[in-house]
Amino acid sequence: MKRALPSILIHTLLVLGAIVTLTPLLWMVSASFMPTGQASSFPPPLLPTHPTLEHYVDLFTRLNLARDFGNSLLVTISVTLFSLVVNSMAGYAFAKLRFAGREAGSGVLVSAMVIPAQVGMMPLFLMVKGMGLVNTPWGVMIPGLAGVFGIFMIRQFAQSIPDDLLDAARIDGASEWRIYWNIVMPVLKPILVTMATFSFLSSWNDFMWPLIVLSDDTKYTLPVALANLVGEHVQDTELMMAGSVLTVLPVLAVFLVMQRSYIQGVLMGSVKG
Amino acid sequence: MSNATSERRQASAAWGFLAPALVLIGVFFFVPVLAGFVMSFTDFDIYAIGSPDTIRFMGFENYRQVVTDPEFWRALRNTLYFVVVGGPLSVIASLSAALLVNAKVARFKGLFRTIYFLPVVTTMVAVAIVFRYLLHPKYGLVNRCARVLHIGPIDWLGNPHWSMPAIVLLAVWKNFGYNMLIFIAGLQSIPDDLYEAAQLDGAGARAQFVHVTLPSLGPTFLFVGIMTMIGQFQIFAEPYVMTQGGPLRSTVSVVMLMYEQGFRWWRMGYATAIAFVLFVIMLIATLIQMRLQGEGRKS
Amino acid sequence: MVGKDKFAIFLPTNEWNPPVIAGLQAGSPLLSDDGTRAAFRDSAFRRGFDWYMNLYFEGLAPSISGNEVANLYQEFARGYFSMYISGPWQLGEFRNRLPAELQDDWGTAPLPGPTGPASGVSLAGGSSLVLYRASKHKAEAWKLIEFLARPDVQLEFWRLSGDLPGRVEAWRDPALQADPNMRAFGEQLTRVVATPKVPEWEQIAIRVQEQVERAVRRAAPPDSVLSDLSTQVDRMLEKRRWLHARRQGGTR
Repeated sequence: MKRALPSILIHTLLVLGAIVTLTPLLWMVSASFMPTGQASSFPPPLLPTHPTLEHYVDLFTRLNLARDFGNSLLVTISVTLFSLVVNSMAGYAFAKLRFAGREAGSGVLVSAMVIPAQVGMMPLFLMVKGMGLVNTPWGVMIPGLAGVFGIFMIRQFAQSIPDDLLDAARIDGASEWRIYWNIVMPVLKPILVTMATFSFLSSWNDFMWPLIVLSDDTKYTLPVALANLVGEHVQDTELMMAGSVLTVLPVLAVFLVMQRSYIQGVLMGSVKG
Repeated sequence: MSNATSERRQASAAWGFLAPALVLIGVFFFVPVLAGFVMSFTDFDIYAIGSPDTIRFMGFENYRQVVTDPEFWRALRNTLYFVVVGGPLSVIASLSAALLVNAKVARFKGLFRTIYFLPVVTTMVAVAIVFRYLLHPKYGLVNRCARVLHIGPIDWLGNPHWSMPAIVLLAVWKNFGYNMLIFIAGLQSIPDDLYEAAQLDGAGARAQFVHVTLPSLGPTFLFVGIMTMIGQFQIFAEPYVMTQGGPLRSTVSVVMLMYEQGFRWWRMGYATAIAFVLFVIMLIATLIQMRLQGEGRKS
Repeated sequence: MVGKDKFAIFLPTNEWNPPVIAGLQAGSPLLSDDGTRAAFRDSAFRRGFDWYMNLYFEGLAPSISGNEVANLYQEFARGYFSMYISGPWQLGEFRNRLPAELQDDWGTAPLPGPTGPASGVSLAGGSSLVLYRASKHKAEAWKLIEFLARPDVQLEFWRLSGDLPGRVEAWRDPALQADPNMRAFGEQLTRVVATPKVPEWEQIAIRVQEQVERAVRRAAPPDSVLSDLSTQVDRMLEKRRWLHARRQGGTR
């Protein structure tokens, strides 16, 4: 129906949109290579006059950002792997195993999707504190270890597994665990890859809960470290941009590599609601 | 193997498979939610953390204080501004991007789609910091562009009238790609013969858009609208990083107020009451939106 | 130095310390009744507050927050403002970040006061060492506090970290005496006041900042600002009053 609109107009708008979308990210990269003070000069420069790596060096040496990077990586990868196993087990059970309470069980879980996490945040913090996990990676990971959204996504996908396949394995005498591990898991691989990407991105980018649980800067994840750094180094535009680049880089890379399966996941989640 | 044993075996296996997830979600989600409900009727605070015998049962006092606290109303107003102004803006941006990317003549669709989607996956804290500098009245690129159009200079983050628009700007930039993707899927699911029939009736591009595209996207609008709204009601990182709620508390959101009360001042009973009030407001807003859009589709 | 885009002093509207100092200098206790009531409506705080407001209203200080100054040191070097209230941790920053040709053109001084230098009090900053009543290692903790309070240890601490010693004896050290910019802080240290020792203080301080900012930006008249502030703070201290009453009533 857009055929009536000239192609030139559409492409102009597309390119304009792309420029607007990319400028903040490109400026962030550019400013991170500017010498100290250049980004706050007038008129605001677009490109560094003398590109320098000093801010990256500063972040890794004096400001210990490598440590925060490691913390983020540890938390993100652990949560991703753990939640993948837990959610896929539950998703598969809901999709393919017959048991009393299946409908009621999934009904209760759906209600969990309606309740915003904030209403339980204060008691959860006190629980985590009581368990001695405040200020540890464990404390950060706890809310992400199992997720209703992940369970339902996997259930939806697992429903397409033919019952005959599972029954045949049962007749051959395979245990339920074996069936799950050797037959179901390989079939689930595409959705597991999607969910791993989802989990990686959301866990890496998560801010509020890590901010609450972590109080010791040696334990900070990158977003918390960055928010803390800006309090002290708000003057150092270029340094902050280098920190932002380092924070954003892993998620952008993961997204670009996993794009296809990630986008499929977004659409799948939206179709089902 | 008899059918009954197989059933029994499956049932016990199912609970085995479900156990880890159910235990984790039960212990770390449902228990805190219920405990939070109880807590919202107490004055659990910094003294209570040290000596629990100072906890008092307050009845509805916390809720009374929440709804009479001007601070809460300001936070709610800011949050609603974000929902009411930011929501439609972001949906319009998403739909426009989807229409462009999905246009028949458009080339490099995949590339543009990827570019528009990039902000979605970035870390909010990092891009909020980037926007802090982009929005600087003197040295920011945004005002530099505005100057070309003879606007400004605008003190985005320093002027209470511009601070919320600044946060909306960041949020729209960051999120429009997500809904764009969903709109693209919605557009692609509209059957071509609908357009062909409209063309036979002599409908131009605009008429086709109004009478075919928009009505067909109804369910997509409802989904996008509700999901966007639920996310926006919970806005936290944007003001926390960009403005710390200032200037003049003009960007404090409800969740940020809850965070301050609960985790900065340790007034946890009061903070949970704020969270529950927000929950109820979100529920009502969702129901209203479902009702409105349901009626809109009927007419 | 005052003129268009040039100000005598920069008092960021997002900091609570400067208005609190103004109140303390005017003799306000900030809180009364053993820290259970706000004292912001009293005449002493009002005097300090009015004086402080005038700095903005007469155009001596810009009505902006610290976030709106992209680079404090650059703006100082440009002459956007001529004075700034801060602590010794800034000495190194000013040395490193100001251009070399300006290095002889700046200095530090203790705060003046409304009734002569003796009233020029200031805040000591994060300087409290705390021993918990429930601590299981009271003796060891006390030993550590004694150790940290030794003048020679404080000096060593200063050499290692740049944090200034709190003990007057340590300030007799020639290295500290030699630097005139440092000496100003040593002198200030003889006139410091502690903030009220109540767990709610931090929260109260933020309220002071918020309400003062309202007045500075002319969002509310000074009278209503001070009475709003008192109401809010009194409400915050309700639990404290209850605990007090409970302790005095002897009910356990």
